[in-house]
Parts: sequence; C-alpha cells; structure tokens
Amino acid sequence: MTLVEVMVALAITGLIVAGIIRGYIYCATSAVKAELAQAANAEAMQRIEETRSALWNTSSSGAADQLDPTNFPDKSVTLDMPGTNTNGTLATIQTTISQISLTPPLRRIRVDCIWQFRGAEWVTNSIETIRAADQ
Amino acid sequence: MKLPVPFPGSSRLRPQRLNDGFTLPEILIAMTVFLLVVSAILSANLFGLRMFQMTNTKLMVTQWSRQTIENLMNQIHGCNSVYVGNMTNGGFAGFLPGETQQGNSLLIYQTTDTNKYIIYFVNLADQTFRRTDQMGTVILADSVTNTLAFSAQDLSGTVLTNINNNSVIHVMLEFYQPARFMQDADYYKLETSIKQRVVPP
Repeated sequence: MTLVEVMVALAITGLIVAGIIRGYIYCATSAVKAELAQAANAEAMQRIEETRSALWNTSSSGAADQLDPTNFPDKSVTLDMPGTNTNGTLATIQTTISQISLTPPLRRIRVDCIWQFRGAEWVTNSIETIRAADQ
Repeated sequence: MKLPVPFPGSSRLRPQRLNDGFTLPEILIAMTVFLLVVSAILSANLFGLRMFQMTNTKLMVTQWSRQTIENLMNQIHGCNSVYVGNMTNGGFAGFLPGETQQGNSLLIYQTTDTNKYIIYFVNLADQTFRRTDQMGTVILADSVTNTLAFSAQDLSGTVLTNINNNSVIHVMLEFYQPARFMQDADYYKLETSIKQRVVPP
C-alpha cells in the first residue's frame, strides 16, 4: 500500500467513527430531552390538578371563588430525572386563568412550564383545560 | 538453449533474504499495531455498552413512571373515594379528623362497594412501592427512600389536617440507587398531584 492509500483509508475510518459517536451522543441527548419534557409536563399537570381543587361555587347559598390567578403565582420548580447526578433543570410554572363564558360559567386554565435545555434552547410545555363552576 | 529461472528468489540479481520471513522489529511493530486496533475495538464496544445502558435506563424509568402515574391518575380521577393513611400489619389505617393527612399509603375505592379497593403503599421493610387489591400484591418499584409518599393538600400545597372534597392527592416518591457496574449512584424524585373528579353528593 502506498502512503496515499493509507491516508485515504484512515480518513474514511475516522469519518465512520465520528458518525457512530455522533449517533450515540444524539441518542443520549434525545433521551435526556424527552425525560425533561416529560418532567415538565408532569409539573404542568400538577398545577392543573391544583387549580381543579380550587373552590368555585356560583350558587347563591355558598358562593366561593378560589379559582383566581392570585392563588396560583409563578413557581420555580426543578425538573428531576433519573440517571443523572446533576441537580436537575430549573423551570418556571406560569398559570393563566381567563373567563370564557358567564352563562354557563366557564374558565380557561392554561399552565406553561418554561425551561431551558442545556442552556441553549428554550422549551415550553403547555397544558390547557376548561373548567366549569360548581364542580 | 536458454533455461528458465526456477523462481525469482534464486536469481543472483535478487537478494536472498526475501524468503527469510519477518525480522524482529517488523514482528514487534505488527504486534503493537494489532494491539492498538484490538484495544480501540474493545474501547468502542465498552463505550457503546455504556451508552446503551444509560439510554436504556432512562427510557425504562421514563416509561415506567409515565405508566404508573397515568394509571394512578385515572384511578383517582374516576374513583368514588380516596383516603391517605398508613399501612400497618398488612392493613390500611386511615387518619382521624384533625390528624395530618400524610402517610405511606393511599386507599382508593372505585365504587361504593368497599370490597373492591386498590391500595398503593411504600413497604418500609424492603423499600418497595407496591400496589395491592383483591387479586394480590404487585411490586411496582424498589429503592424507595421516603416513607411519607402520599398526602392530601389544598390548592396552595399545604398538607390538610382534615380531608375534604377539595383536597388534592399529592404523591412523591424518592428513589436512590447506589453505584453499580458502569453506573454512578443516582437519586431521583417522582412527584405529582391528582384531584378526584367525581365528588359524590
């Protein structure tokens, strides 16, 4: 074999190895991102469930309204995930409550969980639901 | 007449040492190169195994937690009643009014029939998270380190001292796994809140 042949073979091998390693890294990164997205979704779902537990009665005998944005301020949470020894990723939970109908009384509840993936890409997981009064 | 040369090596023009085999430096260099190649292949295999194990663990845990939480949510959303309590001597003991609603187990009645129940609990003896019903007991997870996994809270996250229709069931499971082969020690927390949808009159 000539030196040129050896160099070309080495270059091809290097390209293949780099491709394989890149594939491994992509898999690992995707798994981490999927886990964080799931954790963010769970945090958002948790806030939705909390808004579900707020009293909102419109009947004249026992009117009460806890389904108010002031009862659900922004909250910082940590997205925890398995297989890592880091302290998790910080996320912010934002809750928006808006009246969409008075008769029947209906409110839209939207929860956003905002987090940053590896200090570069901002990701928002949103869950939206509509709740009626007297539930 | 011209006689053919039997083989080139016998020619006087060629050096005789072509058929003598390899020299010691050649063998040593070849062996070194071979060892380098073998060690590179082994390293690549080990790296691949480690990556596979990491990814596999993450995906398995993600799948497990999604399934378990989803099942739990569905059962609490549609249940007739739900109670937080403690599992003692194989039986569920609920809290009395005025006691802090935080314990190691959760009792779910799907209907008004109290013979049909589901209990989720943390078994303190072997640190497992279990589900039990009329059919038997199933271990859902191990390496659970916290004992007070369930609580009834209000909308602001305060643990209640008296369960009411507006409580939200809070679930928190903390896991710890010591370092194993090719894996570091790991701590992991799974947390969610679930509100019962159907409130009986």
